[in-house]
Amino acid sequence: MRLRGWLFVLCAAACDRDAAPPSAPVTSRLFTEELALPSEQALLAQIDDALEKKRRADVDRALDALEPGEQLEHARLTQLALDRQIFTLDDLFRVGDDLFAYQFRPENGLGNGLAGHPLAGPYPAPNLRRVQYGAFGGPDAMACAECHSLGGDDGAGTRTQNTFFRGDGDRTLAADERNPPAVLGTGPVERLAAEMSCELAAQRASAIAAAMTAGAPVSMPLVAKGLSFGTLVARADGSVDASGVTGVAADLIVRPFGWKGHQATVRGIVKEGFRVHMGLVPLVEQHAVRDGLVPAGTYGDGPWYDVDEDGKTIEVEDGMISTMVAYLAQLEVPVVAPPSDPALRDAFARGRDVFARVQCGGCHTPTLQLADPLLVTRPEQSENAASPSITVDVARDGLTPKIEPIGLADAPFGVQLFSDLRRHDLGPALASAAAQPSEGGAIAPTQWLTRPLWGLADTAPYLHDGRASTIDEAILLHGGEAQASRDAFAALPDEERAALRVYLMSLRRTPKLVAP
Amino acid sequence: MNRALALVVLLAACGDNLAPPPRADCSAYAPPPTGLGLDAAREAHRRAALRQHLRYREALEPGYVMRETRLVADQARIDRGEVCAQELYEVGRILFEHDFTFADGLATSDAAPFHRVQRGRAGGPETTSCTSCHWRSGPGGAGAFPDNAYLLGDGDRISSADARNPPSLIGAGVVQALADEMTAELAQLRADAIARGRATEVELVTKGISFGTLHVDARGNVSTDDVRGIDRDLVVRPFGWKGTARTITELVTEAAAAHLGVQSEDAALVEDPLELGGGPPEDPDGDGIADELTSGQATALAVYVASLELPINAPFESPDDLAHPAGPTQPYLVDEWARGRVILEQIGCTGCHTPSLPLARTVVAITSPLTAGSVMVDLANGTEAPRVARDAATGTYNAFVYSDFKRHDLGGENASQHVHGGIATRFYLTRRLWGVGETAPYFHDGASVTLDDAIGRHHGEAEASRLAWTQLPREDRDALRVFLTSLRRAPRLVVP
Repeated sequence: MRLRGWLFVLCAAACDRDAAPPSAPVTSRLFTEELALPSEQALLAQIDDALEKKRRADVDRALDALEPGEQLEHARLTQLALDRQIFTLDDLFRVGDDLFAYQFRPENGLGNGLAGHPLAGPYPAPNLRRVQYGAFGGPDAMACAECHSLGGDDGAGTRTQNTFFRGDGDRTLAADERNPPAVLGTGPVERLAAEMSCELAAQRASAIAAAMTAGAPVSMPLVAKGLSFGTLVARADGSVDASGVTGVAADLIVRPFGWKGHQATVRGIVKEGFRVHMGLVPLVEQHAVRDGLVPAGTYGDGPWYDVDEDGKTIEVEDGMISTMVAYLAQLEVPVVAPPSDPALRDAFARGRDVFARVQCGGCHTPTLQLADPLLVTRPEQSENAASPSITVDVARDGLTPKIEPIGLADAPFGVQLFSDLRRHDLGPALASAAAQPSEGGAIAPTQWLTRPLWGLADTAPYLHDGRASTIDEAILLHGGEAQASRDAFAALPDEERAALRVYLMSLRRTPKLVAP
Repeated sequence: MNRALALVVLLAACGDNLAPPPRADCSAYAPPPTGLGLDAAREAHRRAALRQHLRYREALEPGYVMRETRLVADQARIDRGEVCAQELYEVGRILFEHDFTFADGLATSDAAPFHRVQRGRAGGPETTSCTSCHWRSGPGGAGAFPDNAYLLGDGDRISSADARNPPSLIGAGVVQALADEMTAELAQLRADAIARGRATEVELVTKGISFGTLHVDARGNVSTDDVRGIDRDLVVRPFGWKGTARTITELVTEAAAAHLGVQSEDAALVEDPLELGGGPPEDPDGDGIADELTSGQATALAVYVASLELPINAPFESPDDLAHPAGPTQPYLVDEWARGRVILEQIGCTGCHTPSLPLARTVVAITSPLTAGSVMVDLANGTEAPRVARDAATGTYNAFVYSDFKRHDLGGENASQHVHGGIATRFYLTRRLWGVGETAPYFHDGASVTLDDAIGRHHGEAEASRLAWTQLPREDRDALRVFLTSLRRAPRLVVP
C-alpha cells in the first residue's frame, strides 16, 4: 500500500515533469473555413420532416417486433387498395419511401427455396448470394436502400455495394461488376427518353411511308432532341435496315436506365431490382411463367404461383410496383450548385468553359428539353387491365428541387442531366466482360450509355464498376468515341484540369437533414 | 536507483496514462451537439458544408485532405499535449468520411487495384472510405449484407472466404476503456499470484466475469490451461467478431490496411499484422506512396471512433398524436419491453450477453503504437451524446453492453473456414447487443435477416439458451424481440 502510494506520487511528478508547456494551437484551414448554413426557418422545417419519417419508422419497427409483418403491412399497397383511388401522391410517396428502406425477409418472399437446384446455390434458404447466378440473380441484398446509400437514401452505392451480375454465383472475377447508380431524377429521365423514342418512331414511320410511296428505299437521318441517332433505311416493302442507326437499339426505343441503357422505364428497373437483387418475383412474371411466355425453369421449377419455391405465392404485385414507381418519380433532381467561396467560384466558371472547350458536352449534353412532364405508370397483370393508372407530374409532384421551366412553348422544361441518353463506344479498356442482354438486343461490351453527370459529387468512386478513385482517373479512362475529348483533357494545363474538377464537384444533391 | 530502471518503474506505474495535460484552451471546446434540436441541425449542416468544401479543395489541390489532417494530427504534437482531443475528433471524422484516392495511398501495388474477396492476409482493398461500410442509422453504424467483407479468401471466390458483416462502431470508446481495465486487473491478478512465491490457483475474475483459473507453481511458472474465453496472455481483445483487436487504434490500423490498402506508420506494430507486402518500411505495399497514414492520423481516426455516442437502453417512443409524428412522444410497448428484458435473463442469454459492466474510470487512452504517447478521451463529458452516465443509486458508471467480452464456442455449425488471429474456428466474441436493433442483418456473416433467425443459430455453449428460446410461448418471443429491437441509437440529425 505504502509502495503504491509512493509510486503514485513519483509517477505524478514524472508525468508532470514530462509535460512541456503546451504551445500555441496549430492553425489549420480545416478549422477556419467559412461555411454557409440554411436559415433557422429552413432548419426547423427540415427537422420536422426528418422527425416525422423517423418516428413513423420507429413505431413501425416496434410494432413489427411485436408482430412480425406489421412493418411491411405499412410499406405495401396492393392494386386492390390503389383501385379505391383514395391515396394521394403524397401517400404513395410516404409508403414508397418506407418500402425503399424496408429489409425484406424470407417470409416476404426474399430469395428462394430451391433446395439442391443449380439456381439456388450452396447456402440455405433464402439462398443469399453475393455474386449473382446468370440472369437469375442473387439475392444479394435485402433492401433497395442497402445499395443506394451514398449521400442518403436514393443515392449511389459505395464500392463495397457493387453488384456482380450474370456470374457463376461465386467468382467475383467472372461476373459483370456494376456500381449502383443514384436513383434521383429518374422521373424526368424516363419522360425524356419516352419523348425521344416517340420522335424516332415517327421518323421511322414517315420513312417507311415515303419508301412505300416511292417504291424505292428511303434513307432517313434520325434526330431526337436535336441529337443524331444515325440513319435508318426504309425499304419499299415496309421493312427497315437499322445497320446505320447509332446510340440506340434497332427498335429505336431509348432506354435511359442502367450503365449500358438496357431499361426504358422506372417500372422496368423496379421490377428488375426486386427480382435480381432480392429474389422477389413479380406476379406479372409469375403469370408469364403460367402462360408459357418465359422459358420453363427461368425462375425455378416450382408451380407458376410459387415458381421459386419459397412458399410465398404473391411476392410483388402491381400495386407495390406502382407505389415504388410513384415514389421514385417524385424524388428531387440533383442540381448545379456553384460554390460560394469567391476563388472557388472563379474556378467553377473556368471549369464550365473547359467542359465546353474539350467537348465533354458532345455526349454529356448539359441540358435536354422536356415537353411533357407527366409520367404515367400502369398495372400490368391482365386482371388489372381496367385498373386506373397513376400519373406523376415530374416537374411538380414530390420533393424539391424539381426540373425548371425554361420559357419555351414547345419544350417548357430543362433537365440538367449532362447526358444525351445515347449509347457510345468507350473503347476496349472500359469494355465489360460480355455483352449485356436487353429487350432491344444485346449491348456490346464496349457500348455504354452516356452516364448522366448530375449528382456526380456524391457518387465517388466513379465509372461503371467504381474503378476510378478520382475524376481525373475517370476522364482519362474514356476511350473510343470519347478519345479526342480525353486527349484534349490530358493536354490541359494543371489549373484548367483543376477548374474542371471544381465545376464537376458542383453537380450535387441538395443537402437535407435526416434522422436515420 | 539506476535512472533507466526508475523510468521503467515509472512507465509501469503510469501505465498508458503518460498523457501530458492538454493545451489550456482545450477545455473551451463543448462536446459535439447531437440530438434533434437546432444546434444539432446546424452542426449536421456544418459538417455537410465542410464535406462539400473539402471536395472543392480536393478538386483544386489534390491531396488537400491528407495534407491538412496530417498537419493537425501530428503525433509529436499530440504527445506533447498540443492538440486537443476535440480537434482530433474533427480531423478523425473528416478522415473517416474521406474518399481515399490512389494518390493518397489507396490500394496496393497489385495490378488489379480492388479485390472484393480478400487475398489471404494481404487483404483487399475492396472500398475507398470508412463510411462506405459503416453507415447504417448514421455515421459509424453497421453495414448491410452487400457491405460484407470476405476475409482470408483467394481474391476471387466468395466461397473461399469468411464473410464478415461490418459491425457498428458506436460505443467503441467505452468498450476499449472496459477492456483496458479488465486487462489491467487480470495482469494484476497474475502478478500478485507470481509474487506470492508458492504454488497457487487464482480465479481470474474481473468485473464479475470469470476467465477461468490460473495455476502458478512455487517457481513462478504460470499455467494457462484452465484459462477460458481469452488468449493466454490474458489480454481482453474486444474488437472484431472474434475478438482480434485490443484497441481502437489497432482496429483502425488493421481496417485501413485490409479494406483500403492504406497503411499507417503503426501497421507493422499492431499485434496481429496483415501481410503488408514486400516494400520498404515507409511503403510496405509498394504502391509508391510512402507513409499513407501517419501515426497521428490513425490516432485522430481512433479518437473519432472512441467519441461516437453510446446506444440507448429504453423503450420505444411513440408520438402522442399519430397525425403529428414530430410532436411530443411517450414510451411505447413498455410492458412488452420490460418482459423481454426479463426473458433475456430467464432463458440464459445474459450468461454471456452480460447486461452491464461497471466502468471505473471514464477516460480512455488512445495510444500511438509508434511513440507510446497518448491522448485521453473524456467519455463522461467530451464525446457525442448519449454518454456513459453515473448511476445515481450506486455511484458507478455502468455500460449496458450486453456482452462479457469473452470468446465462446458457438458450435461447428458456425465454425469459420479460416483461423483468425490464432482463434479456434468455432470461437466468437460475445457480440455486444447494445444498438443491435439497427444492425440487421445479424450474425458475423450477415446471413440472418431476422433476430429470430440469429437466435436460432446459437449452438455450442449457447445450445441450452437456444433450446429454452424454442420452448418459449409466442408472446414471450414477441416480448424478447421488442426488447432487442429497442436496443438502438438515440435519434439524431445528420445530413448524409
